[in-house]
Amino acid sequence: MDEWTEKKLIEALIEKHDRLIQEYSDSMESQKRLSILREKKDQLEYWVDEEAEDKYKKELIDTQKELETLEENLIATDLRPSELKSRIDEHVSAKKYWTQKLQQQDG
Amino acid sequence: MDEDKIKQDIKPQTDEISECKKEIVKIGGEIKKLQKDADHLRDKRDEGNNECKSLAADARQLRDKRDSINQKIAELKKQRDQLNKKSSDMSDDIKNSKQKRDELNEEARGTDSTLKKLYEKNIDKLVNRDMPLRDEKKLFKSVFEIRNRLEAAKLADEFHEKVVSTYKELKELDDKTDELTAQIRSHANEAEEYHLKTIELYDQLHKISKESDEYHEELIKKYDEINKLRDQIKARKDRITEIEQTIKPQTEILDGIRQEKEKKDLEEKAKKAREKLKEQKRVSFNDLRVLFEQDKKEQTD
Repeated sequence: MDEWTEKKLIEALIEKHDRLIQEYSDSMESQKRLSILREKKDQLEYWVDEEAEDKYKKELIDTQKELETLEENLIATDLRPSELKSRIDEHVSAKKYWTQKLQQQDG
Repeated sequence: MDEDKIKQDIKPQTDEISECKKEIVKIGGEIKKLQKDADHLRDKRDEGNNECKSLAADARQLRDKRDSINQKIAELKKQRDQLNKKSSDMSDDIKNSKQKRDELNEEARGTDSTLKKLYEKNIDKLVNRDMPLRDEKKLFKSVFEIRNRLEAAKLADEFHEKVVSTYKELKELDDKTDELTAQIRSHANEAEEYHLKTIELYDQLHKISKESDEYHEELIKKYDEINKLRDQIKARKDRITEIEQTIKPQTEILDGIRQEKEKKDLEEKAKKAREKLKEQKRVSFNDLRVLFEQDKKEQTD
């Protein structure tokens, strides 16, 4: 308990914001990728159904696997990209605030 | 000179001498009786004085014992006073610790365990949960307030422990004080007993001393009486001497006459004894004695 000085807590907050910024950024990228993969999956499914082409089956399977993995690891999937962007901006501001606070402490 | 005439002439004086002698004997008897009384009084006085000496020694011993116990009591009281002072200081400590504890508890507004849980929960929230900056700032401030409260709660617990342990020490101290008080009371009772016995002995001593003094007073009076009677005897002896001086010429003559008579009587008896010897008759021891005395007399003459 006594390990939590003001400085250490501020550093932990900065780390948290960094982590969340990264996660939300990754999420944004993932959502983009997700959107692409979903479209790809639709297209492949169509090609597999319509044209009964086996060559697209493997790609479909791989795409579905990637999609599942992405969906499992994605955070804030219910947020729209604009909302994600907003979250990222909030955390960037928060990180700035705490960084200035840390500099004041060290100063 | 006529023996009877001389005797007649000095009869009043010789009668007076006889009378004086009779009185001397009588007074002597009285003196003996008084001396017997005096001996009795002296014995009673000395007996009383000896008893007083013995009682005084006993009383001194008891008094010394009492004084020794009183000294012990003083020492115990000093020890008890020290304990009482310590006890008073500890009571003040307890009062101050309680006050401090209560102030800290007021500051803490919670127990150590609940505050710790709250603190850890808020830290976890702060470093892990996604929340707006506004909430973060509030929670950040709150975390350190809770920590201060937690420290206050811990310190309050320490003060409470101090109160409990001091109470325990105080109880032990009170037990020791009670023990000392019991010892003091017991010694005081013992000292009181010795004191009362001492008083009793001194009372006895004074009573016997007073009696001895009275015997001594009586003894002095007896001595005075004896001395007065002795003076009476001396007076009579002086009178006898005076009279004897007055009739000395006559008594010398009478002595001469008596001696002559005795001489003649001895000669007569010796003559008869010699005759017995000549006749070879049995002689008695008295006869031999008479012969011997006669020979002796002739040698000295």
